[in-house]
This record gives sequence, structure tokens and C-alpha cells, in this order.
Amino acid sequence: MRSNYLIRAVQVAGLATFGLFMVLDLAAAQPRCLEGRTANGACVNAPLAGGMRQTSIVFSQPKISQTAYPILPVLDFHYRYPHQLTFIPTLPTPIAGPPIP
Amino acid sequence: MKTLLITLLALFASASGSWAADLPVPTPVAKEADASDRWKLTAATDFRYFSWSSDRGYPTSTALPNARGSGSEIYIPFAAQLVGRPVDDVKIEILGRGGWVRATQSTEGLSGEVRTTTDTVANATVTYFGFDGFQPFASVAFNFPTGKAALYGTAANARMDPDLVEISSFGEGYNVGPTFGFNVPITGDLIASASVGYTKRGNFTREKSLTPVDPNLQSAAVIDPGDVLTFTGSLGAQMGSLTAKITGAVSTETDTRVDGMATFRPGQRLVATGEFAYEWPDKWGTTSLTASFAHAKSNKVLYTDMATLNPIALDTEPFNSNSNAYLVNFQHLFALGVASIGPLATYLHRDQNSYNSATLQFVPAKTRQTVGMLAQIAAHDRVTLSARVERVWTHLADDSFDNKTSLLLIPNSIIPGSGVPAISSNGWQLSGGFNFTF
Repeated sequence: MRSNYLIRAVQVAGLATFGLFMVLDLAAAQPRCLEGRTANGACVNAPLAGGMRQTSIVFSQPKISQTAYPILPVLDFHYRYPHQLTFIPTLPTPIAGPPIP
Repeated sequence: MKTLLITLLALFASASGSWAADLPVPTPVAKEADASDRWKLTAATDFRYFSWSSDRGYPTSTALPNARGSGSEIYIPFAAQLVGRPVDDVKIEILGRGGWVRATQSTEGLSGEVRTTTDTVANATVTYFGFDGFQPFASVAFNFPTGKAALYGTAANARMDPDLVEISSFGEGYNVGPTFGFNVPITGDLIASASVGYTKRGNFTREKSLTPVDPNLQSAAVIDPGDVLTFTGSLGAQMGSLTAKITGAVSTETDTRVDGMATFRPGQRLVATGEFAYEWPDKWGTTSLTASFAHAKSNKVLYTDMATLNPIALDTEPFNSNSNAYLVNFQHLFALGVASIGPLATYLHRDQNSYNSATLQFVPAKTRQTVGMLAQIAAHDRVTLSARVERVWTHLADDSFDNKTSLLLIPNSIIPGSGVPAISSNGWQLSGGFNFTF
């Protein structure tokens, strides 16, 4: 009697798990997208989306470092222009008057 | 028992089906990395050399009038980046970067050299792809003070014109900058992005001149630079062979303090930029164009008492001491097998600021132009080489009004010999490096 209950419980759990995996399988069967999806489910242009995110991060931290942005060196010349537009005073100490910050 | 075994086998079968579905599914629009490619490590380094000569040394206001200026710099940055997807809907990007620099100015009266590691920067970004039509990301960046902020004695002269060398400041404090933002793909090829970043900048000690006659007589000063809040918005699109991206950012900053006293607050800063790339058919390559504009409102500066010369308080300066900056970058890369090579050119113009040229606060217009060549070679599946050479010219407009009036530091005092004639400079920038992906 107890083994019947056990078998019934395992069958129910198995069916539920099987159903869950079927749902996951259906979801996984859709083509995956490297940079996510649009609202209607189409894949996003991955290089464009990745570049947009990196630009947002670089422009949102204009003074994180006077040395370099946290990017690979090969990208320095591409992202050097925000530094050229964002004046960070680096003059030697002035003669007379307080130091230029 | 037999029924139990069948049930367990059914469970195993359903799980196996799920694993099979995890294998790469080739689609025309996107490829998913398989399990072995879920994490990718990239190591990169560059060797860069800069040299320049000029009608005067730098800074031009303290250089001897008849001594030509010159200098050079070697800068070796190195970095490692780890990009991975612990689960399908989450992407993690971690980057650490350091470097070493040797800077030398060889100008009579302004000679000096510094050799040091640079500050170390790092960044970690997490992006979530689980929502359709909305991809949020969170990022935190750091600057670790591994360089040299204070340069005593003649070493301070190694800080050279940032338009002629890449590294003109050799260190600052511990900075931390969180950024929160999101991408909204309106269509697959049209994306809007917005973010907000806050940069908390830490204290550091820097040298300070004690006397107007001997700049090498110095003491230490504690600089507490202002924190920065920046809002950024951008829109990007790919239309066939054309990719376009426009970005705007607005930054505000808190007071900068020197030895505990508020001395300066930069005005609100606006930056707008457009990036465009067109991929030509066949092997004609890709043309890239970047155009940018920056404007800053008037700063707040420390006013002093006319009679006692004691500092009073920060207030908005009478005229805007910030110049507008206009920048255009152009490059074209021809595709030659595994290599791409082509010309590049840049043009930067900073207009004169709003002060009268008879005042010490006047900053004349300045232009910077470069022409050069760029090459990239995919030497191997995992190795990319790059090389770049540029000739640089700068021109600082005439500022030769010789008895300028100081409006701020020492109000209404006349500073004799403070004018600087037009100054032309030229130089070379050479760079070569590689990326290696493990």
C-alpha cells in the first residue's frame, strides 16, 4: 500500500518535472540572442548593442581616471576623444596663487 | 518497482532533451557560444612612443621666451579582460588595466623626467538579457592610486601638453564610479541607451609651489577633487552598410578642495558626439567618422578680499573661462586579406574663452591636427596585431598682451611679461600592440 503511494508520488513528480523540462525545451529551442531581444522577440544587433553599452559606461564616468578609461588599450584611440573634450586640469603647480586643482 | 524505474528513466530522458537543446543553435541572426566559449579571457598590451618640439616649453606661461621646447614619452599599457555568461541571460565583463610610463621634457629651464607605473583602472559590468525589449546593466569602475600624483623638484616638469603626449598626469587618488543604465532595442537594428554615473573621487597629495620665484621650492597639498554626476543618452542604428550612433552627456561636479578649502567648481559640462561608419562593398573597406562638441558653463572660483587678499568664498566667475571644443576624427581601413590598413586624420579646435585678452584668465584658441596610418592584422584566430603612426601639429593663437590684469587670484594686479606669442608645435605618435584571446 505504502509503495503504491510512493510510486504515485514519484509519477506525479516525474510528470511535473517532464512538463517543466518541456517548457524549458520549448524556450531553449528558440534561437538565443547574444545581446537580448526586442519587445517583439527579434534578436538585437549584438555589436551595436555592445558598443552602445560601452559608450554609455565610458561617457558616464568622464573623470574616473586621468590615465585611461577601463577599456582594452587597442580601443584607446577610439575613446580618447571624450578625454579631449573633458578638460581635466593637469598643469604643473602655478607660480603664485593656490594650486590649480 | 518496474514502474518506478520507468518513471526515473522518463525523468532522465527529459533532462537529456534539455541538455541537447543547450547545444548551439545556428540561426541567421545570432550565434550562441557553446559551453567551452562561455568565458573568454583577453590579454592585451601596447608600446607607444611620443615625441614633440615646439617654439616654447610647456607650460608656455612659465617657459623661457627664447628657449625651444621638446620632450618625449614612452607609455606601455597592459590589460586583461574576462567576458563570460554564467547563465544564458547574464553577461559579465571584468577588466583590469595598468601601465608604465617614462616622460621627459628637455626644455631649457623646464627639464625634468618621471618614470613610474601609472594608476591602475578596473571595471566590472553585469548585463541582464532576460527581459524582451529592455536590457539593464550595472557597472562599477575604479582608479587605484598606483602612480605618482606628487612630483617634487624638476620631476613636475615632466607633465607635458596633453595634446602632444598621452599621459600628462601620473597619478591621483582612489576613485570609484558606479554606473546604472539600460539598452532599449526599438528594433533589432535601432537601439536607445541611457545611463547615469557617479564618480566618487578620493583625496591625494600633490606638490604645491611656495614661492613665485622658484617653482622648485615646494610643499605638499592635499587635493580633494570634486565628485561627478553624469547623465548619458544615446541612439544607435544600423541601416544596411551604414552604422550611426549619437551620444549626449551632461555632467555636474562638486567643489574641489585644497587643504580643506573649497577653491574651484567646474561649470556644468555638455558633450555631444556622433559616430558614423560605412562598410563599402568588396574589399574597399570601412570609413569611420566621429564628430564631437563640448561646452561648459562658467566655473565657480575662489574670490579674495581686495584689501587683505584673504580668500572669501566660491562664486561664479565673471566670464566663462572654459573653451568650446570641436573634434573630428576620420579613418578609412582597406581590407587586404587578414589585414586592414588605411589613412586617418583628426582635427581638434578649442576656441578662445570669454575673457578679454588683456586679462590673465584669457585662454587663446588652439588647434590640433594629426595625419597618419593605421593597420590591423588578424595574425591568428586568437591574435590580433595593430600599429599606428601619426604626425601631430598644434597651434596656440597669439596671446601677447604683455601686461595682463589678474581678475581673480590677485584682483586687479598687473602681471608684467605675462603675454605669450603664438606657439606652434609638432610631434610624432607611434603605437604597436596585440590582443591575445585565450
